[in-house]
Amino acid sequence: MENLERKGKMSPWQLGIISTSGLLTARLLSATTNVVIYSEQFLWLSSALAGVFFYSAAYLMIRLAEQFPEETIGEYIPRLVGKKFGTIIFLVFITVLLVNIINCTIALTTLSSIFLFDRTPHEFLVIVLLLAVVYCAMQNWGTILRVIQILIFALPMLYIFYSLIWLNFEPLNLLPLWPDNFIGILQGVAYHTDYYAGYESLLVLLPLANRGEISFARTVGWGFLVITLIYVFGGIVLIGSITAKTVELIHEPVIYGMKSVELPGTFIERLENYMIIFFIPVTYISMALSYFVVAEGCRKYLKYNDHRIFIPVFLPLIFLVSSFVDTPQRQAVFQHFSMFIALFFSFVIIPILLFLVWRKKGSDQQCEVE
Amino acid sequence: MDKSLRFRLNKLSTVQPSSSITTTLQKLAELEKQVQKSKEVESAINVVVKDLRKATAPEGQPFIFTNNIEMNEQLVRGALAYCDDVKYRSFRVGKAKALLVYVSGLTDTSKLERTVLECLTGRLENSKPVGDINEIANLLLTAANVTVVIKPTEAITDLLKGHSLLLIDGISEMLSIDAVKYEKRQISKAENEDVAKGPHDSFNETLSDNIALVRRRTKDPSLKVEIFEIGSRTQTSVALLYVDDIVKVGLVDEVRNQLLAICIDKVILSANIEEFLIDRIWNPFPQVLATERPDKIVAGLYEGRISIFVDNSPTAMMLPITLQDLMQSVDDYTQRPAVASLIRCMRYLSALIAVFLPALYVCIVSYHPGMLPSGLAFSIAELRARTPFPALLEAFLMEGLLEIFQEAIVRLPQKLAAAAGVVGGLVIGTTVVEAALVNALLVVVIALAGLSVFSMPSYTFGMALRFFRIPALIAASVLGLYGVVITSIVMIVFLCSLRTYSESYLGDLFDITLIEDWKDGLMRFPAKFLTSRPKRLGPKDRTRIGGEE
Repeated sequence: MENLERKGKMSPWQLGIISTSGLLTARLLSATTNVVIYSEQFLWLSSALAGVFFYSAAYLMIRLAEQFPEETIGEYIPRLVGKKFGTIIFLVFITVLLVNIINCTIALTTLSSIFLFDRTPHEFLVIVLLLAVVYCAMQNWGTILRVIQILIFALPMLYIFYSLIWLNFEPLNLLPLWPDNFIGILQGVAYHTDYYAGYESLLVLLPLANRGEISFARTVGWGFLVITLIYVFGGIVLIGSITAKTVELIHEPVIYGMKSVELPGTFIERLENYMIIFFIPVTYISMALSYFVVAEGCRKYLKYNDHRIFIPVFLPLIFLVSSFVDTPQRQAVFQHFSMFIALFFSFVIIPILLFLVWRKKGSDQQCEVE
Repeated sequence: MDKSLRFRLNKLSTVQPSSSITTTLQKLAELEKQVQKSKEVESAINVVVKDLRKATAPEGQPFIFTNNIEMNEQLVRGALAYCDDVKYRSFRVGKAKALLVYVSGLTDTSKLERTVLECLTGRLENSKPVGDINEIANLLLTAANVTVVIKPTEAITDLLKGHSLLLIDGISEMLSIDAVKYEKRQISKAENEDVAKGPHDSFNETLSDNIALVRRRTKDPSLKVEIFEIGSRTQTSVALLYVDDIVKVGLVDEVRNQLLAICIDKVILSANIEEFLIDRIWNPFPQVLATERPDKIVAGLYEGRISIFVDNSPTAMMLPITLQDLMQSVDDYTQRPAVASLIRCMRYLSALIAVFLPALYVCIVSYHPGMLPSGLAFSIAELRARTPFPALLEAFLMEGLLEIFQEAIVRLPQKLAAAAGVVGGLVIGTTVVEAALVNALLVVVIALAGLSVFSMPSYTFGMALRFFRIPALIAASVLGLYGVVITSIVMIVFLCSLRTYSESYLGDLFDITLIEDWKDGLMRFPAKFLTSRPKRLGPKDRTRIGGEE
């Protein structure tokens, strides 16, 4: 049954698709407001720079993982920094992913409760979504891979609806073209964490990919490029349609932008509902992927046979935090926490680990020469 | 006799007390008891005899045949006691006594006369002794298929299959003569999988006919047919067909082992076998393709699949299968590729309509009427205002009616089914609307969902779609569009998790590693582009066009 064995692995291109498909979630809806506060009408430029910025973090992760082929972060970290620090770093990694799941849950359920069900308890929406995510995360990797490859087709549909905002596009809203607030733009880059969260899963997914002629850095890079282009054009369309000032003032600017679109003579009305429909599977991909990565990471770290044991362990925690963070104030605090922990992991911990690996490698080579 | 009784008319019991009814009844009861006891003794003796015979017989055999024909006849009669359809015909072969045993209705008696009785009774003189059993089989009998049988179980099984047993005095072996002939349905048009263009013949209930229909379509010596007997009591013949140099390595062994591991008393339908071959028994989606079309089986065999035929079943099974196989029809290959591709896409759309259309209706009407154009929203509101039930209840009512119609039409004879269809579709359909039980739009929605199920090439797949309509409806009524989307995602996860013989149930659908197979999946490319066999089935030889000169 040779085909069965192949199903558990993915090609480098699949890795590129999977790891970057997890980036785009409903989180970007509210995150846009936070970014525009700093980058104003240069949201698109900030998004482009953020693409490069976060890809550099992903690239460092790929380089780190390539030093330990066939091993996940939980397996090689204790060897690298010792058991105590290894556990702390592993916990930070798990926290980053759990926070991503919680953020996605909050974003999607808040969106649904505002625009689809204003009278349905928030907790009910949360638990339904989480149970669906748990069901997917309980499957083996081959199944999750197929699920993601099917649900990813919601992404172009989402973008088709999103691009309808072009109908209200006013080029004057993007002026001045030359940016004069570089600091703001760079600050906006940091606030793009919500746009690009989830690439940390590479540290567990890389051993699940077959090494081929194409490097992982290249395939993941192509994925980042596509997502960055989506964000850049999305930023141009959004600011051009409803102005940076409006985006700053409202909580869900993309939905607001969609609400203002009318397609006379067609059957379709309330376009924002259609958009939310496509946001659900897109966000679901990220949630299921992160959940699987958490469980798989724990499995490898604690040397268990089955990742499914760890799925129910995290469910109450995710549910409780997602239900607790239900007001805009709490959400803002939680978003800041998630941003800082994600940046800390990607731009502090990973470079240090990589430095340690290179130094160790260098000393090993020196020993060999001596 | 007493003188006082001489000329008097008296009761018999007065004259003879022993002939009173009470006494007679008592005696009768005693006699019955004795008879019962003697029966018990007889059966006990039979058991002892059986055990004694078994003790002397080889392992796994109920008894052992002897040289004495009378003893052998008794043994066969004992084994087939109370089987009045088993016939015994005694005659002489030269000097020796012979006995022909056959089952009436399963055996061609005229053939027996020609190939056995005429040959044996006419050729040897009465005084001449018979030779050994092989001499009789090879020199005297003219029957095409004659085998020497030693084991009693083999002999009995052969007999019940329709073979005749020839017992000869002085010989402990017997001959099993193939003279099977029984009433069977002729090969006719496929009833459930009719096509516009293409062959019309279909399988019947006879295993040999079904295998012949496949063999007639290919002269390939690599096509292998293995036959097993499954069912401890029914001993049903089950055939395993595959193309040796194409089928994936290990697949035949796995299926063969599965078949041999089936421990069941009876196999009446192919579905009895099917349930032992699938791993997720509660899964509503079919994991084995059942077809009555030989051309479909041959096409499947040459894609690297395995086919299983069960005697007395007019449908053959094919495995492993994927969702695409269930969505394809023979007509797809007789139509122009562009048209066939369009039809295939329509089928996928129909599958979605079959599951989600009623759910979408319920959620839009109940939760999101704003998504509809104002005119339509108002007209629906007007229609709904006339009906007393909430949308979910209305939908369930209509769904229930549709299910009842479908079941009634399937069970009824063909002539009555048309009438029932008219009654159901027109009379009740119109009446429920006029009675304001459901609104007209819902009737259209449910009817469209029902029709979509009928457009599925696989009936069992259509049934699975009907099954999933219910959870979708409930999710729509509880959580509106959010519920419908979550349900659809869960369904996708479920479908992705299904495996048939380690292959994904969704096959190459949206799998970029199997992009080569996309040529004959959702779309159907022209034949000259289909140069290789589907990769998803892991065939040994993938070349379809241009392999050999």
